[in-house]
Amino acid sequence: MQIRKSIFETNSSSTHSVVVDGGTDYEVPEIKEDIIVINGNEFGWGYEQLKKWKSKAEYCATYAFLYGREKDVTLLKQVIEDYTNKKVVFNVDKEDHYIDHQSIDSAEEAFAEYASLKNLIFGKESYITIDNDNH
Amino acid sequence: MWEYKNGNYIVKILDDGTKLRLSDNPIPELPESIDVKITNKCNAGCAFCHEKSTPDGKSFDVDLAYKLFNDLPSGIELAIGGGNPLECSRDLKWLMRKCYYKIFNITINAVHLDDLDFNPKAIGISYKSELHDKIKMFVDKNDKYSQCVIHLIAGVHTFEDLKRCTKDFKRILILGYKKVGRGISYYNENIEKEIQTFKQEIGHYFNKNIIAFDNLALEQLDVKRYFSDKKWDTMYMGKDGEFSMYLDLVEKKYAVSSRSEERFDIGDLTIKEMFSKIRQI
Repeated sequence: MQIRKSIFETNSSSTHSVVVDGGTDYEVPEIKEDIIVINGNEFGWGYEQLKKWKSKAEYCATYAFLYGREKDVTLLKQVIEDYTNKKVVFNVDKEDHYIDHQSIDSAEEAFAEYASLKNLIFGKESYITIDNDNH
Repeated sequence: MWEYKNGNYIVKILDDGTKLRLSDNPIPELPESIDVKITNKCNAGCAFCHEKSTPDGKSFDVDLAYKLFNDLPSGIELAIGGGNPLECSRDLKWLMRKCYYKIFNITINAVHLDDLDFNPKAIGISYKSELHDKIKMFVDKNDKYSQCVIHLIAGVHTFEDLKRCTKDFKRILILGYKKVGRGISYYNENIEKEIQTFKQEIGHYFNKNIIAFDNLALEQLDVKRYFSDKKWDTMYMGKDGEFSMYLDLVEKKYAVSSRSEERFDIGDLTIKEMFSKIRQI
């Protein structure tokens, strides 16, 4: 079933195709800058859950640059740029940033395809759990 | 409320305009809505007009319109536009009286609001920022008789226009920028910049108003990215020509949409016969 909510067809040049009357399924980022800088970080000493898109993106950037493949970096950049319609630059430091080995698998699965990475970063229900050997 | 059978499914339209398409695999025999151009006459002189309307443009044959619409089921929506459809007010009112059980909606430019002297089911108002207060007064006064929908074109209107409109108006339709007609020469990098701003920011306004999009805007602003496939399947009403068609009663042609280059003679065809051809394209 399809539903057009609370509006008549007034368009005289083509048709109403989608009516949005309610929230989105993905987080809508509040971004003031023209260029988004995604920093790396230290993800090791949990327990912690990353729920905001920026912190999830930082985790993914740390993973892609330090543990991932070249195409993971490309995919991450594409997903964030497509969704935000802004340029993205990364700032990940091999000396200072890391992910505890217990937590690496969380990202690896998401990098399997475009949709899963988008869901992980921008999905309202998605989060990343940070943990370590002591828990 | 309106309800009719269309091919293998039922369409229901509630009093607030909500439309329910009751099927998982709807195959229509008739268009649920028809974009109807009744005149090419307009004195607004919009530099971006994709219809290239002028003050001495031609208008429609109301008898042909009556012949085409009279047998359509109650509940099919006729979105009347131009040019300025109020240039044909007398004929339009006659047609509405003769086909009183149809849903007549019209789109007019805000500069022509004073000329409207009847109540269609809904009024699309092409927004002009310099007339914002006047539009607000009109909507406050008339919305209970005719549902008012503010029309904004991404690029022609700015994102600041949208922000202002969301504060004062409940229903907003965002249209894509058409690079046809005078829209070809009007297009420039500032328009593209505004389109990109719409694309970046539009998601922030989904909770506050009823915001609708045409297919071109969906494409230009990539609205789908904010929604899951499941929700999108419920919200998306179909591509141009799937459940809708375009009728140019001035040139007596029909097409998938007003953007279509491929147009066909109406001749003696009925709406059902025309739509059958549209569905095959």
